[in-house]
Amino acid sequence: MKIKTACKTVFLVLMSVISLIPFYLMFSMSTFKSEMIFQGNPLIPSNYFIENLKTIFASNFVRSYLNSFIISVCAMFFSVLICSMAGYAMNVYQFRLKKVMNMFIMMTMMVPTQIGIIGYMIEMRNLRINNTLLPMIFVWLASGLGAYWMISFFKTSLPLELVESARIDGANELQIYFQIALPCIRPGILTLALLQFLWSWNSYMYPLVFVNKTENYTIPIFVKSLASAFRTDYGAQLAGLTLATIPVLIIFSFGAKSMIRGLTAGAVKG
Amino acid sequence: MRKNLFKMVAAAVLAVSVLAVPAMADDPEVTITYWGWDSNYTWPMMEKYHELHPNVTFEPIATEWGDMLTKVQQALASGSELPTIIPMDRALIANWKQFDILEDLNEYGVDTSVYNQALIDAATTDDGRLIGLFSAACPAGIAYKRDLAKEYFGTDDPEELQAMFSTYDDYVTHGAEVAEASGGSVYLFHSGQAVAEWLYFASDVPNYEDGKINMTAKMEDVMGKLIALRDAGAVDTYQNGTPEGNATYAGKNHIFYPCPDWAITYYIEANDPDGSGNWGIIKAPVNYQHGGTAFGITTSATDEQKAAAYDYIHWCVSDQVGAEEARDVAGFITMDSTIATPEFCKRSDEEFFGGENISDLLYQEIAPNTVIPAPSAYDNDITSVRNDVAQQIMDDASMDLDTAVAAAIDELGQLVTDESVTIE
Repeated sequence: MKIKTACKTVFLVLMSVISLIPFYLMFSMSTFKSEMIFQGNPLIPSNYFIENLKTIFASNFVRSYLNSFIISVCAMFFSVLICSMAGYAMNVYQFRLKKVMNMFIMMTMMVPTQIGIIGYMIEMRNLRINNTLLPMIFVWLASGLGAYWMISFFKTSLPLELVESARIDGANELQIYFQIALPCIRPGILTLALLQFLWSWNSYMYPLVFVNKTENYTIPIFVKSLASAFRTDYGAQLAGLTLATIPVLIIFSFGAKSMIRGLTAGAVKG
Repeated sequence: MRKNLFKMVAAAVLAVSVLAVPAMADDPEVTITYWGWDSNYTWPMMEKYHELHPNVTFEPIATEWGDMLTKVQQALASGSELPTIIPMDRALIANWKQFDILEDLNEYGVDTSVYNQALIDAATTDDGRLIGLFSAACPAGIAYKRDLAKEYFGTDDPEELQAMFSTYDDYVTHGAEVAEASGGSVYLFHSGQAVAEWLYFASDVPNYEDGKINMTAKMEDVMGKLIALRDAGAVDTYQNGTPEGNATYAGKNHIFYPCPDWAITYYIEANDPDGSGNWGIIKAPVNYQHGGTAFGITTSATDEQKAAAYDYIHWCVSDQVGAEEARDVAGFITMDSTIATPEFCKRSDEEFFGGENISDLLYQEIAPNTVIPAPSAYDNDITSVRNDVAQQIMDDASMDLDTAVAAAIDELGQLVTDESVTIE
């Protein structure tokens, strides 16, 4: 038994090390002067990190970072709000064409985003907001997957009797939604929030087609342009990549437990 | 007396200022938008032009060359705004011709007789429209490290090395000798992909003719030579252009690097800053050009934008100041023969090459004597397949030519979906 546990532990440690080494190397290499990266031992950090950061900060990095942050936070907040409202409505209310609506939500998940992008660009252009950050935020709000997920979560986590009781006690619909329904699906909300943040932070396709001004750069576009701007300054490129990865790592570290709980909720029949 | 002189000078300066300001104010304010890569070249060029023409402002958006077609296609399909100036990589220029979104520069009165005719032909459509001007010809040779050349070939003299490496077979023969002498630790080349890239650009087999892609002939020409070099132990397995591969420039295990003129600044000097004096360049067995970007103007731009954009593009190539700026910031030598005299082409970094006259070699000997095969709309796909198959050849030492060609045809078949085209 002990050997089995030890083997498992060794295996898990090994897999963790394999997974973490690229991240560690990215950070470690970002502390080197470019010419030294492949001459020294990249496992031991050097002392050039600040210089590399200076190079990065002298470019459009801060603005790109801020843009990505605004997009991701807005996408995360409003997407969770809209999706959870959709999930609540689909579970709590009875209305005509509810089944059709449900099928429609499922269908939106089956259409690749690339197919809808041209139509979306036309829509944004007609709204005259295509040269702003808004198209990169709006695209995440009506998420078919998010709505479907919230519908499933409410179905398994929110007893309708609770809603009825609250109504009898005089709570209005917003109070029921915010104070009773949402706390019931907390793991689902956290998971969706994390995923929306990650997806919008890493999104490349939408910024690629919508960013036509330097002040609208996002991190993925900035990172891609690093290779051209700092062609052989790998230290600076890696410093930029390290900084770009930090928010994702922090958010995932803090929310990993909830995320896994949310992903696995309903996997085991209780 | 001194006071009077001062007053006169001050009055003159004031008069000039007063007269000059209204003249500049008359120039219309124009904003030129630009999507493209290589910010090390384009950004400084735009800044310099803006300095000289303050009424022209640039809004450049960094877009990697691999994303350019996607971004433009999406903008076209959705009716969104296109930039004023579009850069066109040589591998994609035939694709740009198909879009019909670019101005015919002939209508702007450009004198094409002073330019490299092969590059003008490459940017001209079948109906004679010139859709862009190449910023530079890109003559290429083979760069080498002098210390390693001396150690393994007994000389670092470019002429003697040129005589030793005048055919592809010479590279195979000497590659095997180096491998044996070094116990397999030193190679002629660092990357199969780099070698395939060189052989591809040096190949005179056209990619496309009469509705068929000559994949077998092209790959046999390119991969056949690569396999011979690999089997001789002359090529290492690094992937071309990766940080690890680029680090070999400063190393002691690879002697030769296929080298277009822009690679001198962007790769050799950048990756081996301490290697001054230790480099040389010889001609490849076949003179060739590698790379190049043409700049065109979109038809959707306003008349003011078009006029300013043309003036800028023309300034980069055919104005003494612009051409000097291009030479000095990026090492790009204009394809305008009236400017690119031997004196103008004299590179300031010849000391890096041990004092060798690489300027004459590249711009007087190689550049005028290269032939560029007609570009096709499939060049980018073929290039992508070439890279993949070259790496497969290097990763699998048992891969023979037939297997490599079959793999290339199969992979290209998945990329080319046009049924009117056959791959042979």
